[in-house]
Amino acid sequence: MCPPEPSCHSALLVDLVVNEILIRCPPDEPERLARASLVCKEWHRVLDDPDFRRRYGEFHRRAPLLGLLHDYGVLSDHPIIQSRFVPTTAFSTRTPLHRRFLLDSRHGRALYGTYVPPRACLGQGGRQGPHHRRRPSGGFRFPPAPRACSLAAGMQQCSAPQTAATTPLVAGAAPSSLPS
Amino acid sequence: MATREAGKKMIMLKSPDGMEFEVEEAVAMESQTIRKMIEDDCADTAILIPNINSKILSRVIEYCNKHVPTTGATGAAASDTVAPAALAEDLKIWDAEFIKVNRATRFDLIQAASYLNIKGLLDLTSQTTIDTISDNSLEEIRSFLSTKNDYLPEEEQTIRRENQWAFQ
Repeated sequence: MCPPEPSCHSALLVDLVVNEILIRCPPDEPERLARASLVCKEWHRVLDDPDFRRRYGEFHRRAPLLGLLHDYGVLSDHPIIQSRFVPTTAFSTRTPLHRRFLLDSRHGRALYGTYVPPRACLGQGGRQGPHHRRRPSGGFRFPPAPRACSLAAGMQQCSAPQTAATTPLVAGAAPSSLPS
Repeated sequence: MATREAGKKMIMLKSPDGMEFEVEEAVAMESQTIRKMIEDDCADTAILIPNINSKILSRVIEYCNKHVPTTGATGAAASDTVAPAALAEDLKIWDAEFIKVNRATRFDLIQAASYLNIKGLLDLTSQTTIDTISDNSLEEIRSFLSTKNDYLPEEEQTIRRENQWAFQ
Protein backbone atom coordinates (compact mmCIF):
# COMPACT_ATOMS: atom_id res chain seq x y z
CA MET A 1 0.00 0.00 0.00
CA CYS A 2 1.29 3.46 -0.83
CA PRO A 3 1.84 5.70 2.18
CA PRO A 4 -0.54 8.61 2.64
CA GLU A 5 0.59 12.10 1.82
CA PRO A 6 1.73 14.07 4.81
CA SER A 7 -0.65 16.63 6.19
CA CYS A 8 -0.25 20.15 4.89
CA HIS A 9 -1.29 21.59 8.23
CA SER A 10 1.68 23.64 9.38
CA ALA A 11 0.91 23.10 13.09
CA LEU A 12 1.24 19.35 12.61
CA LEU A 13 4.57 19.82 10.89
CA VAL A 14 5.78 22.05 13.72
CA ASP A 15 4.61 19.42 16.21
CA LEU A 16 6.52 16.77 14.31
CA VAL A 17 9.75 18.76 14.33
CA VAL A 18 9.43 19.70 18.01
CA ASN A 19 8.70 16.08 18.89
CA GLU A 20 11.73 14.80 17.02
CA ILE A 21 13.99 17.36 18.68
CA LEU A 22 12.72 17.02 22.24
CA ILE A 23 12.56 13.24 22.21
CA ARG A 24 16.36 13.30 21.93
CA CYS A 25 16.81 15.12 25.23
CA PRO A 26 19.11 12.82 27.22
CA PRO A 27 17.21 10.95 29.97
CA ASP A 28 20.10 11.46 32.36
CA GLU A 29 19.43 15.19 32.29
CA PRO A 30 15.67 15.38 32.89
CA GLU A 31 15.88 19.01 33.96
CA ARG A 32 16.29 19.90 30.29
CA LEU A 33 12.78 18.68 29.55
CA ALA A 34 11.33 20.74 32.38
CA ARG A 35 13.23 23.82 31.20
CA ALA A 36 12.17 23.21 27.63
CA SER A 37 8.53 23.38 28.71
CA LEU A 38 9.14 27.08 29.43
CA VAL A 39 10.21 27.93 25.89
CA CYS A 40 6.60 28.42 24.80
CA LYS A 41 3.18 26.89 25.34
CA GLU A 42 3.54 24.86 22.16
CA TRP A 43 6.57 23.06 23.60
CA HIS A 44 4.80 22.64 26.92
CA ARG A 45 1.84 21.07 25.16
CA VAL A 46 4.12 18.62 23.32
CA LEU A 47 5.98 17.68 26.52
CA ASP A 48 2.77 17.33 28.51
CA ASP A 49 1.26 14.92 25.98
CA PRO A 50 1.12 11.34 27.33
CA ASP A 51 1.90 10.11 23.83
CA PHE A 52 5.19 12.03 23.88
CA ARG A 53 6.11 10.49 27.23
CA ARG A 54 5.31 7.04 25.91
CA ARG A 55 7.45 7.63 22.82
CA TYR A 56 10.22 9.12 24.96
CA GLY A 57 10.34 5.97 27.07
CA GLU A 58 10.38 3.78 23.98
CA PHE A 59 13.07 5.87 22.30
CA HIS A 60 15.46 5.77 25.25
CA ARG A 61 14.22 2.40 26.59
CA ARG A 62 14.19 3.82 30.08
CA ALA A 63 12.60 6.75 31.86
CA PRO A 64 14.74 9.60 33.13
CA LEU A 65 15.67 9.46 36.80
CA LEU A 66 14.56 12.64 38.53
CA GLY A 67 16.18 12.04 41.88
CA LEU A 68 15.89 10.27 45.20
CA LEU A 69 13.57 10.47 48.18
CA HIS A 70 15.46 9.62 51.35
CA ASP A 71 14.55 8.77 54.93
CA TYR A 72 17.73 9.77 56.65
CA GLY A 73 19.52 12.99 57.25
CA VAL A 74 22.47 11.24 55.70
CA LEU A 75 23.11 13.74 52.92
CA SER A 76 24.01 16.40 55.40
CA ASP A 77 26.33 18.20 53.01
CA HIS A 78 23.51 18.73 50.59
CA PRO A 79 21.87 22.17 50.64
CA ILE A 80 18.32 20.88 50.10
CA ILE A 81 18.40 18.10 52.65
CA GLN A 82 15.26 19.40 54.34
CA SER A 83 13.19 18.61 51.26
CA ARG A 84 14.06 14.87 51.52
CA PHE A 85 14.24 14.91 47.72
CA VAL A 86 17.63 14.95 46.06
CA PRO A 87 17.44 15.68 42.33
CA THR A 88 19.89 13.95 40.05
CA THR A 89 20.82 17.37 38.72
CA ALA A 90 22.42 18.25 42.05
CA PHE A 91 23.70 14.83 42.97
CA SER A 92 27.17 13.39 42.69
CA THR A 93 28.93 10.40 44.13
CA ARG A 94 31.84 11.13 46.42
CA THR A 95 32.56 7.92 48.25
CA PRO A 96 35.25 5.58 46.90
CA LEU A 97 33.74 2.43 45.46
CA HIS A 98 35.57 0.04 47.77
CA ARG A 99 33.80 1.51 50.79
CA ARG A 100 30.30 1.07 49.39
CA PHE A 101 27.80 -1.73 49.47
CA LEU A 102 25.23 -2.18 46.78
CA LEU A 103 21.65 -1.50 47.87
CA ASP A 104 19.82 -1.61 44.61
CA SER A 105 20.31 -1.57 40.88
CA ARG A 106 17.93 -0.91 38.02
CA HIS A 107 17.59 1.14 34.83
CA GLY A 108 21.37 0.99 34.46
CA ARG A 109 21.97 2.79 37.76
CA ALA A 110 23.18 1.51 41.10
CA LEU A 111 22.26 2.70 44.56
CA TYR A 112 25.06 2.32 47.09
CA GLY A 113 25.24 2.78 50.82
CA THR A 114 28.19 3.44 53.07
CA TYR A 115 28.65 2.57 56.74
CA VAL A 116 30.79 5.46 57.87
CA PRO A 117 29.42 7.99 57.48
CA PRO A 118 26.02 6.41 56.88
CA ARG A 119 24.76 7.70 53.58
CA ALA A 120 23.34 6.58 50.29
CA CYS A 121 24.58 7.55 46.89
CA LEU A 122 23.65 6.94 43.30
CA GLY A 123 26.08 5.60 40.73
CA GLN A 124 25.95 5.04 37.00
CA GLY A 125 26.59 1.77 35.29
CA GLY A 126 24.72 -0.62 37.54
CA ARG A 127 23.72 -3.95 36.11
CA GLN A 128 21.08 -3.57 33.43
CA GLY A 129 18.03 -5.74 33.21
CA PRO A 130 16.39 -7.62 36.05
CA HIS A 131 16.03 -6.00 39.42
CA HIS A 132 19.02 -6.72 41.62
CA ARG A 133 19.39 -6.05 45.33
CA ARG A 134 21.78 -7.07 48.07
CA ARG A 135 21.08 -6.38 51.72
CA PRO A 136 23.90 -4.75 53.63
CA SER A 137 25.52 -7.03 56.15
CA GLY A 138 26.58 -6.06 59.66
CA GLY A 139 24.74 -4.09 62.31
CA PHE A 140 23.78 -1.09 60.23
CA ARG A 141 20.16 -1.25 59.12
CA PHE A 142 18.15 0.94 56.83
CA PRO A 143 14.52 1.49 57.76
CA PRO A 144 11.84 0.92 55.13
CA ALA A 145 11.68 3.78 52.68
CA PRO A 146 8.49 5.77 52.31
CA ARG A 147 6.34 5.17 49.31
CA ALA A 148 7.29 7.71 46.70
CA CYS A 149 4.65 10.26 46.00
CA SER A 150 4.04 12.00 42.75
CA LEU A 151 5.95 15.27 42.66
CA ALA A 152 5.03 16.49 39.24
CA ALA A 153 2.75 15.70 36.36
CA GLY A 154 3.77 12.62 34.48
CA MET A 155 5.91 11.23 37.26
CA GLN A 156 5.69 7.57 38.07
CA GLN A 157 7.20 5.43 40.77
CA CYS A 158 9.47 2.48 40.19
CA SER A 159 7.17 -0.51 40.31
CA ALA A 160 9.37 -2.73 42.45
CA PRO A 161 9.10 -2.33 46.24
CA GLN A 162 11.83 -0.32 47.91
CA THR A 163 13.57 -1.28 51.14
CA ALA A 164 16.63 0.89 50.82
CA ALA A 165 17.05 4.24 52.47
CA THR A 166 16.32 6.08 49.25
CA THR A 167 13.67 5.71 46.63
CA PRO A 168 14.55 6.51 43.01
CA LEU A 169 11.93 8.46 41.14
CA VAL A 170 11.54 8.26 37.42
CA ALA A 171 9.44 10.16 34.95
CA GLY A 172 8.65 10.26 31.27
CA ALA A 173 8.75 14.04 31.37
CA ALA A 174 8.32 16.28 34.31
CA PRO A 175 6.93 19.65 33.40
CA SER A 176 4.12 20.67 35.68
CA SER A 177 0.72 21.35 34.22
CA LEU A 178 -0.08 24.78 32.91
CA PRO A 179 -1.79 26.93 35.49
CA SER A 180 -5.49 26.93 34.82
CA MET B 1 10.36 6.11 -14.06
CA ALA B 2 12.65 3.23 -13.27
CA THR B 3 15.47 2.97 -15.82
CA ARG B 4 18.88 1.34 -15.94
CA GLU B 5 22.11 3.29 -16.23
CA ALA B 6 25.42 1.40 -16.39
CA GLY B 7 23.78 -1.64 -14.87
CA LYS B 8 22.25 0.27 -12.00
CA LYS B 9 18.52 0.58 -11.62
CA MET B 10 17.49 4.21 -11.54
CA ILE B 11 14.44 5.85 -9.91
CA MET B 12 12.94 9.25 -10.73
CA LEU B 13 11.95 11.41 -7.78
CA LYS B 14 9.80 14.49 -8.35
CA SER B 15 9.40 17.46 -6.04
CA PRO B 16 6.11 19.42 -5.87
CA ASP B 17 7.79 22.39 -7.59
CA GLY B 18 8.36 20.30 -10.72
CA MET B 19 12.01 19.31 -10.39
CA GLU B 20 13.00 15.74 -11.22
CA PHE B 21 15.91 13.84 -9.75
CA GLU B 22 17.14 10.57 -11.19
CA VAL B 23 18.82 8.55 -8.49
CA GLU B 24 20.01 5.00 -8.07
CA GLU B 25 17.37 2.77 -6.60
CA ALA B 26 19.75 1.82 -3.80
CA VAL B 27 20.14 5.50 -2.91
CA ALA B 28 16.39 6.11 -2.98
CA MET B 29 15.84 3.06 -0.81
CA GLU B 30 17.82 4.67 1.99
CA SER B 31 14.35 6.12 2.60
CA GLN B 32 12.22 3.44 4.20
CA THR B 33 9.11 5.20 2.85
CA ILE B 34 10.37 4.95 -0.75
CA ARG B 35 11.63 1.43 -0.13
CA LYS B 36 8.13 0.38 0.87
CA MET B 37 6.64 2.12 -2.18
CA ILE B 38 9.07 0.23 -4.44
CA GLU B 39 8.45 -3.08 -2.70
CA ASP B 40 4.69 -2.51 -2.92
CA ASP B 41 4.95 -1.75 -6.66
CA CYS B 42 3.82 1.85 -6.16
CA ALA B 43 6.94 3.16 -7.92
CA ASP B 44 6.58 2.07 -11.52
CA THR B 45 6.44 5.71 -12.60
CA ALA B 46 8.24 8.76 -11.23
CA ILE B 47 7.66 9.09 -7.50
CA LEU B 48 6.19 12.39 -6.36
CA ILE B 49 7.59 13.41 -2.98
CA PRO B 50 4.92 15.69 -1.52
CA ASN B 51 5.69 18.68 0.69
CA ILE B 52 9.44 18.48 0.13
CA ASN B 53 10.69 21.19 -2.20
CA SER B 54 13.48 20.67 -4.70
CA LYS B 55 16.08 22.45 -2.55
CA ILE B 56 15.46 20.16 0.42
CA LEU B 57 14.99 17.05 -1.72
CA SER B 58 18.35 17.64 -3.37
CA ARG B 59 20.00 17.87 0.07
CA VAL B 60 18.25 14.66 1.16
CA ILE B 61 19.49 12.89 -1.97
CA GLU B 62 22.97 14.26 -1.28
CA TYR B 63 22.82 12.72 2.21
CA CYS B 64 21.54 9.37 0.91
CA ASN B 65 24.21 9.29 -1.82
CA LYS B 66 26.88 9.68 0.83
CA HIS B 67 25.42 7.15 3.22
CA VAL B 68 24.35 4.39 0.86
CA PRO B 69 26.66 1.36 1.11
CA THR B 70 28.90 1.75 -1.98
CA THR B 71 30.37 -0.94 -4.21
CA GLY B 72 33.54 -0.68 -6.25
CA ALA B 73 34.24 -1.80 -9.80
CA THR B 74 34.90 -5.33 -8.65
CA GLY B 75 31.59 -5.48 -6.89
CA ALA B 76 33.21 -5.54 -3.49
CA ALA B 77 31.65 -3.30 -0.92
CA ALA B 78 33.77 -0.27 -0.09
CA SER B 79 33.62 -1.29 3.53
CA ASP B 80 35.53 -4.44 2.53
CA THR B 81 38.54 -2.43 1.35
CA VAL B 82 38.44 0.56 3.69
CA ALA B 83 38.68 0.19 7.43
CA PRO B 84 35.22 0.59 9.02
CA ALA B 85 36.62 3.03 11.55
CA ALA B 86 38.03 5.22 8.76
CA LEU B 87 34.69 5.12 6.92
CA ALA B 88 32.82 6.04 10.06
CA GLU B 89 35.21 8.91 10.76
CA ASP B 90 34.86 10.15 7.18
CA LEU B 91 31.07 10.07 7.46
CA LYS B 92 31.19 11.85 10.79
CA ILE B 93 33.24 14.70 9.32
CA TRP B 94 31.00 14.83 6.27
CA ASP B 95 27.85 14.92 8.45
CA ALA B 96 29.26 17.77 10.53
CA GLU B 97 29.72 19.83 7.35
CA PHE B 98 26.37 18.76 5.91
CA ILE B 99 24.43 19.99 8.94
CA LYS B 100 25.93 23.49 8.82
CA VAL B 101 22.70 24.99 7.53
CA ASN B 102 20.37 27.66 8.83
CA ARG B 103 17.51 26.89 11.19
CA ALA B 104 14.77 26.88 8.53
CA THR B 105 16.67 24.44 6.33
CA ARG B 106 17.43 22.19 9.29
CA PHE B 107 13.75 22.08 10.26
CA ASP B 108 12.79 21.31 6.66
CA LEU B 109 15.34 18.49 6.70
CA ILE B 110 13.82 17.11 9.92
CA GLN B 111 10.37 17.11 8.32
CA ALA B 112 11.72 15.48 5.17
CA ALA B 113 13.69 12.87 7.09
CA SER B 114 10.64 12.06 9.18
CA TYR B 115 8.31 11.68 6.20
CA LEU B 116 10.82 9.75 4.13
CA ASN B 117 11.79 7.72 7.21
CA ILE B 118 15.55 8.13 6.94
CA LYS B 119 16.71 7.35 10.46
CA GLY B 120 20.29 8.53 10.07
CA LEU B 121 19.26 11.91 8.70
CA LEU B 122 16.53 12.29 11.33
CA ASP B 123 19.01 11.51 14.11
CA LEU B 124 21.61 13.86 12.67
CA THR B 125 19.30 16.85 12.21
CA SER B 126 17.31 16.45 15.44
CA GLN B 127 20.22 15.51 17.69
CA THR B 128 22.32 18.39 16.39
CA THR B 129 19.45 20.77 17.13
CA ILE B 130 18.90 19.57 20.70
CA ASP B 131 22.66 19.63 21.30
CA THR B 132 22.78 23.18 19.96
CA ILE B 133 20.04 24.58 22.13
CA SER B 134 20.21 22.52 25.30
CA ASP B 135 22.92 24.59 26.95
CA ASN B 136 21.39 27.88 25.90
CA SER B 137 19.20 30.14 27.97
CA LEU B 138 15.47 30.22 27.31
CA GLU B 139 15.85 33.53 25.48
CA GLU B 140 18.62 32.12 23.29
CA ILE B 141 16.50 29.06 22.48
CA ARG B 142 13.53 31.25 21.58
CA SER B 143 15.76 33.42 19.43
CA PHE B 144 17.27 30.40 17.65
CA LEU B 145 13.83 28.94 16.99
CA SER B 146 12.22 32.29 16.17
CA THR B 147 9.64 31.45 18.84
CA LYS B 148 7.89 34.02 21.01
CA ASN B 149 7.40 33.59 24.73
CA ASP B 150 3.61 33.36 24.98
CA TYR B 151 3.50 32.75 28.74
CA LEU B 152 2.01 35.31 31.08
CA PRO B 153 4.55 36.21 33.79
CA GLU B 154 2.45 34.49 36.46
CA GLU B 155 2.17 31.32 34.35
CA GLU B 156 5.94 31.20 33.93
CA GLN B 157 6.47 31.77 37.64
CA THR B 158 4.06 28.95 38.51
CA ILE B 159 5.92 26.47 36.32
CA ARG B 160 9.27 27.58 37.71
CA ARG B 161 7.98 27.25 41.26
CA GLU B 162 6.53 23.78 40.67
CA ASN B 163 9.74 22.56 39.02
CA GLN B 164 12.36 24.23 41.18
CA TRP B 165 14.58 21.17 40.97
CA ALA B 166 15.09 21.83 37.26
CA PHE B 167 16.05 25.48 37.62
CA GLN B 168 18.57 25.29 40.47
